[in-house]
Amino acid sequence: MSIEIKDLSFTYDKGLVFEKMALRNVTFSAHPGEIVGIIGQTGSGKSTLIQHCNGLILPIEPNHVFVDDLDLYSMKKTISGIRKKVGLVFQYPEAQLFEETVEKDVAFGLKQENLSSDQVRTRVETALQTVGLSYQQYREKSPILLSGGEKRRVALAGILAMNPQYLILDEPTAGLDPFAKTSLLEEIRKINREQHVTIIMVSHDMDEIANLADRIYVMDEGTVVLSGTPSEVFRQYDTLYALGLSLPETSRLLHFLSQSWKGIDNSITDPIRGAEVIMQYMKEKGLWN
Amino acid sequence: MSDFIELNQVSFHYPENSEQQNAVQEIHLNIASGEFLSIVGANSSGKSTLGRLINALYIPQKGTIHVDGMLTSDQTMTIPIRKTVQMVFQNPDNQIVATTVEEEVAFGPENLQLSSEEIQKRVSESLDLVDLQSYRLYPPHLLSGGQKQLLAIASVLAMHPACIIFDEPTSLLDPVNRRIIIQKIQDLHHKGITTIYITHRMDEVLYSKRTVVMHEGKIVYDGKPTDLFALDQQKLLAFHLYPPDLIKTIEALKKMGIPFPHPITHAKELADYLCQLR
Repeated sequence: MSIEIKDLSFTYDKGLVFEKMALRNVTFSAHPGEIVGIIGQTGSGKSTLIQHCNGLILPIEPNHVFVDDLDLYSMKKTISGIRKKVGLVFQYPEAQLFEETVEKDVAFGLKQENLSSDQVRTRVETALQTVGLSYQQYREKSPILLSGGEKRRVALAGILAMNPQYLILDEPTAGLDPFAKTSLLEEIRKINREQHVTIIMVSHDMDEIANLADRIYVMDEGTVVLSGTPSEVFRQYDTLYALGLSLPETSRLLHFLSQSWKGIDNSITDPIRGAEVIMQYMKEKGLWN
Repeated sequence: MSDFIELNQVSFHYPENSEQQNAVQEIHLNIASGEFLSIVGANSSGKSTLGRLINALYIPQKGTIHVDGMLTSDQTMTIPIRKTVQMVFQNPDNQIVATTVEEEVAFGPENLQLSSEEIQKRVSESLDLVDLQSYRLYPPHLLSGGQKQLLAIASVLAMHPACIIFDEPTSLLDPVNRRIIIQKIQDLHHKGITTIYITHRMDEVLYSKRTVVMHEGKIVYDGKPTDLFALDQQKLLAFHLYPPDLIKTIEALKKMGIPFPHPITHAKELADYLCQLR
């Protein structure tokens, strides 16, 4: 039970002047309970990859894209089931809010679900609670009058109300201020831990991905160039630098230090742990007492 | 002696029932010519409102704002003030209007009724400053996000402003383009342009010499960015500010007893400093 992508290639506008190869032989997986991060420059194929994960782009050949062992190639007529199972939250999802009230907006996706109004209410209430908004306080509000962070939570709640097993987030914190960002990241972690939703998250923010993801894929020009745990990936300073990607601040610091201080542990991404590692190294080598 | 920009007891509120509710209250702020000032704060703290007040887009209900000696509430001064202080916003798509890059840059100068020679000269000059000369005849929509933001900056430069207010110019950009834009802004500041940089990214605050923190419409801090991050963590959190990771590491090392006589703002700098300690 997982999302498996095997040796997938994809070309936009195949055979036309604007033909563009967006994915080349990509292999990717997200296992139950994981938080998987995807990083890479604009145009590296991240969005094309995540759109394959819930069948927004359908594979043109069998044996490349699987959700819970089902080949999406054979699912063309029943793809809506997959889209419920794999929720996708686009970048700036607040742009898609359109209903008069928060309650109606979150409930919108449930309209085709044949649920009683009580069941809908419960789902909406739970979804809003999960993203940290009180149902009583927010249900009657107009989405357009909310703050940026609140709007984004409402949009996220609309997807969560569908009870997805997998949640794909495309730059969920882009443009949010640090406070809204930190609390949204906490909600995401909570959705993962408490509701056991598998998370796939695209981000440009290395610090946030380093501290949240269990595994990371680094993409460049349609291929996966690096993958592994954050500490395995962010140790590859030169590769990431050559790809024009930034590193988490703590990884950068430890990379610079490791040029003079041989053997210092440069796999740390947490700033406080970083300070501890530095102090420990200085004491061991007699540089500080 | 009077400063280039002076805000004296400034209060401003939006009309009642308006969607915007983030007003500013009793703002006292002097900005000298040639300064690089950052304004930081959470969303809705009033930082963008402050920028728009300086640019005479909004007129305060209380208090006075002088820009290079001109009073923003004096309507005859509105145009000279806007020529002096230009703004660059978050989303360049919202301010790009023309069909080619050069027409876009010429738009402002054309409205100043300058001679066509002068307009051509300014267009060329401005495109050189942002390295977009080779895109002169491109339609703007084919530029990347970062290039569009550079174009927005070029259009503003063609007006020969003494001061530019950047309102979160990098928040929609990826890290590579973010770096390019920040580098360009620093270059322009070195050429003598007074720079007001509005942001909510703590790491970007470190590029300025002086930072002002806005919280619920008021200025709650005015000083060096490095001193700001040395403040008590609880206090920073109360302002909805989170120090950059590098500052967290430095603060942790300080607690372990390592002295930091000079402010350090970059990872490389910190590594070099630690390596020479004995």
